[in-house]
Amino acid sequence: MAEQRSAVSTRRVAWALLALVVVAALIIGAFGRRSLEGEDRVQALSAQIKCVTCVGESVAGSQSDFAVNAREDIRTRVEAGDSDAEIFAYFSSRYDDVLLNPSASGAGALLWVLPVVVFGAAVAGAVVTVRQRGERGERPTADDRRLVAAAMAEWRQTGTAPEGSGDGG
Amino acid sequence: MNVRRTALVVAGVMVLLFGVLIVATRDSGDPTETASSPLVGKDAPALASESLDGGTVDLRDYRGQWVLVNFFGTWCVPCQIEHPELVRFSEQHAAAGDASVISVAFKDEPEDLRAFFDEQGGDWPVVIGDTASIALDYGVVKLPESFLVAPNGVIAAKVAGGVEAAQIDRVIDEASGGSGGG
Repeated sequence: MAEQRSAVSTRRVAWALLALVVVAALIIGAFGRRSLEGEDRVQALSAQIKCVTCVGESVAGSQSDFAVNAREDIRTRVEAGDSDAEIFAYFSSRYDDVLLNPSASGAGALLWVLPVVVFGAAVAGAVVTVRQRGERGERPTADDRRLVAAAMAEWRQTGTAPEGSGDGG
Repeated sequence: MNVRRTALVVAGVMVLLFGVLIVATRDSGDPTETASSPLVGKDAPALASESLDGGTVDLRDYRGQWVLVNFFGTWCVPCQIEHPELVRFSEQHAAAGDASVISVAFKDEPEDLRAFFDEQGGDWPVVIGDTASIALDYGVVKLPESFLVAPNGVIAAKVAGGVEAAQIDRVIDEASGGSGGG
C-alpha cells in the first residue's frame, strides 16, 4: 500500500515538473526575448509591419517604395529612442491592419486566446477522461491485490507460476 | 457517455469561439465612395514643408476652410486623369475662398512639376520637401490619394484613386449639414 502511494506521489511530482517546464517555456518564449539594438532592431520591427503595397511581404523583405520609406522611418524613430510600442502605434494609427502580429485587444485578442482555450479544454478533457476511467473500476480492487499477493506467495514457495498466469495471460 | 459529453462540450465551445472570431473580423462590405483610414475623424497630421515656388506650405494656415490634400505624381497616369477634377474643384471654390487644394508631389522633379501645372492648369501650392515622410504620416498606400481636411483641422474623408469635384462637394455638403459646399 505504501509502495502504491509512493508511485502515485512520484507520478504527481513528474506531472508537476512537466507542467512547470511548460509554463517556464511559455513565459520565456513570451517575455524573454533579448533586447535588440540598432539595425537588428530596425529589421526585427520591419519584419512585424506589413508592406501595404505588396502581397504577403513585410516591410523588412520588400524593396517597394513604401517598404523602403517605412524602413527609413523606423530607423529614424529607433535612433530617436522610440519604443517598439510607439513605433507600432504610429503605423497602426495610419494604416488599417498593418501589423503582422495581431493586436492583443479587440477581435485580435481572440487569435491569442483561442489556442490557450483549446489547449486548456484538451487538458481538461484528458483529465476528466482519466478520472472517469479510474472511477469505472479500472484500478485494482482489494480483492485483486489479495489475489496477486497470494499468487506471488505461491510463486515464491514453489518457484512456478500459478495457473492462468504467463505472457499474454 | 461522460467522455462523449465532454467531447461534445469541447467541440461546442470551439465552434462558438470560431463563430465569434468570424463575425468579429468580418468586413462590413458597405460600399462607400470614400476609403477607410484610421486617420478619418482625427486631426490631420502636420504638413509644413518646402513648396514648388520656393516658399513653404503649412496646413495650419488653412484653418477655417476645407482643404483637399492630394498626393500625386506627374508620372502617375490616374493622377493625370484626375487632375482636371482638381482644377474644377479649385476654381469652383476660388471665389468663395471656402476650400483649397494642396498637392504633395511624390518622386517628382521640380521642372516636371512646373511643366505639368503649366500644361494641365492649377495654381495651388505643391509640396516638394519631405514628401515620403508626409505620405507615411497620412497613411498613403497608392497614388493618387486625397484627404479632405475640415475647417477645424480634422480629416473628414479619404479618397483612394482619382477624385471627382462633385464627390468632394457631396462630402463637404454632408459634413456641413447640407448647407452647400460651393
